[in-house]
Order: sequence, then C-alpha cells, then structure tokens
Amino acid sequence: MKKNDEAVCMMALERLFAAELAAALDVPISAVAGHRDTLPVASRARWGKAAAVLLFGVIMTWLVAVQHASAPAMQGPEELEAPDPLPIPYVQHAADIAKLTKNTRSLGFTWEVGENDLSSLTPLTALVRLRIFGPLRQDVMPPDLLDPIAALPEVEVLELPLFPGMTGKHLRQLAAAPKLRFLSLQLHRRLSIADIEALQALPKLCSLSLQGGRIDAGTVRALSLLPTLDRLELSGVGGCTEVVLQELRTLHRLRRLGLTGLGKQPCAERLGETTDDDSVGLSPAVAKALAELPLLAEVALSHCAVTSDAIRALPPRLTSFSLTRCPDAGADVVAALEHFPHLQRLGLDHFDRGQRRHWRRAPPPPELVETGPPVHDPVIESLPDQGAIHRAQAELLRRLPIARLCYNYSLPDEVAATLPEATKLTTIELTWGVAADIASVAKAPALARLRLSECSFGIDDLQALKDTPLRRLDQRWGRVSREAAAAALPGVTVGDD
Amino acid sequence: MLNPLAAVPAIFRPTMTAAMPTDRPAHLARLQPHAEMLRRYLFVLGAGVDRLDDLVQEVFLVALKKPFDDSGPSWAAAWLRGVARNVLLRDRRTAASRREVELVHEVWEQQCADGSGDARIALLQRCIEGLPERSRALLQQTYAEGIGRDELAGRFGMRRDGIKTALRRLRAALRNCVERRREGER
Repeated sequence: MKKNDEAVCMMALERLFAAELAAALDVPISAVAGHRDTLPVASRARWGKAAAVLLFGVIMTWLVAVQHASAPAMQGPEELEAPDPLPIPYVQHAADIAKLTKNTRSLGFTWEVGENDLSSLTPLTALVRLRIFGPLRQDVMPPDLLDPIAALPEVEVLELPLFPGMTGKHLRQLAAAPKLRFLSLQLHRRLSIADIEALQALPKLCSLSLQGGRIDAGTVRALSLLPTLDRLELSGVGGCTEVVLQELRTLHRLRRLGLTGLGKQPCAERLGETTDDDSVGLSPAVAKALAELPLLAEVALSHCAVTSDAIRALPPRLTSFSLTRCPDAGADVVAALEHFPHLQRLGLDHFDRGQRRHWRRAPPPPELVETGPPVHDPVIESLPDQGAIHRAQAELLRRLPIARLCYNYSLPDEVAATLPEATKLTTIELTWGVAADIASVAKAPALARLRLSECSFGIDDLQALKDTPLRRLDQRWGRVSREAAAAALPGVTVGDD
Repeated sequence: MLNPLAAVPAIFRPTMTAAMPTDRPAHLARLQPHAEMLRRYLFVLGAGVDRLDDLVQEVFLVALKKPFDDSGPSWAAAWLRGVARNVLLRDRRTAASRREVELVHEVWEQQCADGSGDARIALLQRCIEGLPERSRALLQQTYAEGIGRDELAGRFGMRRDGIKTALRRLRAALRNCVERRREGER
C-alpha cells in the first residue's frame, strides 16, 4: 500500500470513530467532528504539509518541463491494458504442451473433446496470458477442472470457454490464481447469477469480457457485485436489449466499456458480419444510462449500432473513444465525437475495397482489388458517404486534444493531411496500414511512439521516420525484423510490444 | 397474504418493484431509518459535516426516482450506500480524489462487517458504559453539551491542556476497547 493510501485509510478510521462516537452519544456528527480535539489534523501541520507539497510540485513541474524541452514525452504507462506477450504458440493437444519451454509467457490452447485434465499446464510457471479455445461442446467436467490454471502463479489474462458442464464452482477455483486480472469467457451457455457470484471470489478481477451466449437484466445487474471490476466488454452477447443494457447503470465502478457485435447494421451484414438481432446497440436511452456511471472514461464500439444522438447522450468527460468496424455509422456519428472535449485517445477506421480482404467474406475478385476507375460494387456503394466520414475524422483530429490515435487500415488522405498540425499527438497505432502511412505519420510533429500491427511496409519505408522525434517503435507481426528496424532507426527503441 | 415476490430471487426484485405503483410517503418512511447510517458513511467517505444532510437528501431523491429493492433492510442499506458513494464521486473531479473515495469505501467494508456499522456502535456504547463516571461526564460535557475547554478545566479541576490530553487518551482507550471487543467476538 502506498504511503498516501495509508494516510487516507488512517484518516478514514479517525472519521469512522468520530461518527461512531457521535452515534453512541446520540449527538450530531458535527458535535464530535467539529470539535477541535477530535480529528487529529493540526491545522498548522496541515498547512506546512500543503506548502511542502506545493513546493515539491513546483520543482517537479520545472524538472519535467526541462526534460520535455529536450525530448518529447512518451505515452504514459499502460498498466491498464491486458499484457499480451509475444510469441504466442498455439497447441492443439495437451501432449504438445510438454514440448514448450518453462519460459513460455503466452499460450493458445485448443480444448479437445475428452481432454478434461489441464494439469499439463502446470510446468508453465511463467505463463502470463492463456487463451483456451473449446470448439466442441462438453457437458461433463471434473470438479477440480480449473485448479491447474489457478495454480499458475503469473497468469494475469485468461480466456476460457464456459461450457454447459461448467458451474460456478468451477469458476470459483480461479480465486486461487494470485494475479488473475483479465478474464474473458466464451459463453457456450447462458451466464447465470451463480457464475457471477463465483467470480466475486476473484480478488483482483478488474476486467471481464463476455463473448457469445446470452445474458439478461438480472445478470447485468449482478455484475455490480464484482468488487473490483472496472472494465467490461460485451461481444456478440445475445439478449442485450435496450432494457438489459440500461442496467449497466448499476456498475458504479465501471471505467471502460466495450460493446461489440450489437444491434442491427445492414451495411455490416452485407460485409459479412453477424449481429445480435435483439439488441439496439448503443441507443440514446442506453447512453443516458451510461451517463450515470461516475467513473466511466473509455468507450469502445466495434461493429455496434450507434447514432449521433446516442453519442451526444454519453458523458462529455470521456477521455477515450473507439469507433471501429461500424460501417453503418455515417459522418454525423463521427462528427458527434466532438461532444467529448477532453478526448485523448481516439480509435477509428474506414472502409474501402481493399479492406474487404480483412473481413470474413471471401476476397473480392481481382478486378475489384485493382486500383483505377471505379468498378461497380453494390456493397461498397451502399455504405454511407466515405468522403464525408474522412473529412469528419480529420476535423476531430484538428479540434480535439488527441494524444493517441489508433487507426485500422490505411489512413485516408484527409486524415493524413491533418497530422502535420497535430501537435498533441504523441502516439499513433496503425493496424493493417501500408507503406504510405509511415510517411504520413512521420509528419506528426510530436510523434514519440509508433505501434504497427500487421502493416505492409519494407525496411526502406522506415527511412521516413529518421530525423523525427520518434523514440519508440513497436511492431506486431511485421515483415521487417526487429534488428533491421533498429539499425535503420538509430536512437529509436524498437520492440515487439 | 403471501408476498407475491417471495418466490422471486432477490436480484430480480428491483425491476419488479419498480414496475409497481409506489406509495411515496411509505417509500420515504422505509428510507428514513437508513439516514443516520448514510450520514456516517458519507462523513467517513470524506463529505463535510455541513453537507451531510444535503447529500442524504440527494440520495433519497435518487432512491425515490429509481427502483428500490424492498427485499430486506441490509440489501436496501447496501444499495443506498452505493448511491451515496456515486453522489459523492460526482463531486470529486480528480482521479486521485475518486480513488480515495473508493479506498475509504473499502475501509468501511472492512471495518463494518454488518454493512451499517451498527454493531461497532453497540460495542462503543458498551465501552462508554464501562468508563469511570468522571470520564463519561467529560465525554458528555465535551461533545453533547459543547462546553469549552476553559470551562471544563474549571469543572474538572484540571489545566486546560490537561483536558485536551484527557480527551485524547479517552478516545484512544475507547478505540482500543472497541477493537478488543471485536477481537473477542471473532
């Protein structure tokens, strides 16, 4: 516990005693708390402490300012993000786990029928992130099924299927996992209140992701029982009607909410997405309910129905907003994000012919992939005006104090043109970007950190980043080796994030 | 007559009660017993004594507008504390001060195992009853009657600073007594 936390707790105990003394003597709290002898805060000492803190603050501000003048700042710590160490070996049989080294930090494991013994995971004591997939339904599970996972000392992130044969008792076993903070459940059955009551026992659970399955209002309300939960993601969960989503208002600790695959979206369906039909997505009524959450600061919508009115009904204090894979959202929805004047992190994408390669449908025929004169493509033509969306996105970058931009697919010209003016933009994350994007982001004057995921570029393209304030480059699944990138960019720390 | 909600799990009841027509005065009467607990809770969370009544009023207003669970006083009290915490958090602008509220809430949860803190007050009352007559009188006159230190010094035949020291020792003794009794109950 930090020293300041200790002081806060001590003061709380003093106040608690004062309140109890007032109750025991049957007098108002003010009679006890207002008494100068009661609370152990000598005003002189308090002023002295405040002056010391002020002086310390001035000195630190000066030091930081000096440091900033000589080098651009890095993005702040990201301890709130789930760790995702690379590489991620995938195995399909328990026998293959034995072939992994003890230093394996990340693992994907497909749960086969009949393999109800997870004890083969036990030697992997360095495992931080464990993804378990279960493509086949299993109805009978041994009572100590998850004990081997709970015994893994370093596991912070766990993705797990919840089969019909698994009960709250199984989930309760995870309470023994000392570091488990991020839990993702692939629901193969309806999530029950008993399951959530079992999750209450997990001492550090801060993030819960629910995928598939069904929930109801009672289940959502029960999520408020989780004592440390501050982020929630609902992904393709059935039963998320407006009334059910409105119950999110009871999750008073919630800081981050992610909604994925909810609500009818005709364009998205034409692009091959499937949605939860009985949901409305983020409607104004749902957004109004979310506005009651006092700590909510981050919202991520992916493939989620949303309107501009709903965006405007959200609390203006949001600092992070992500709007991706929402092809039905027009320029009015993007423009509505100006409703958040303190927005620092912005996640966006756009739609074009090339992008369809990344969607679930089969790749388009070659004549659609080639550039050149427009080719008739009814799917793309049914999308909202993409030019207007790009202009609205560019306008956001001009008007909002965005420090971190996450963009999926190649940057549109309008967005790229704003980067030289984006003086507050220190971090850019590109996913599925192309070589031209590297040249565009190199023009951002304050760029300190660049993260490239699955981007198509060569070593020569990195030359554009020379003589820029860039201090760190991270690649995930890139084509350029870490060593080559480091050699091309002296002075830049190159990592695989 | 049987309660039609009796067979319904408690977690579902708020919505059902919300759908029913509510009797406002009766609803308020159900809330009123929680007022003292809420004042204590808000004060511990850091609310100023001059704002306690306003904040409790605000909590009750929310409770009147929103579904209110009638399935038991402890459930209702927990729900009201949740509302109270949110009311207080809305006033906290910085993340650090919000975090402090959450931290202090955990202190409350830890110290007041019964939720309301009534058990601790009962223990404190027993501790006060066990004090010598002179000490009880000092407590009473200091806090209940609001008598100043100078006058108390005259009444108790002590120096002004002696009163201050005696009160400090008295509070420490009472806190120790409560902790000892809590330990004894475990």
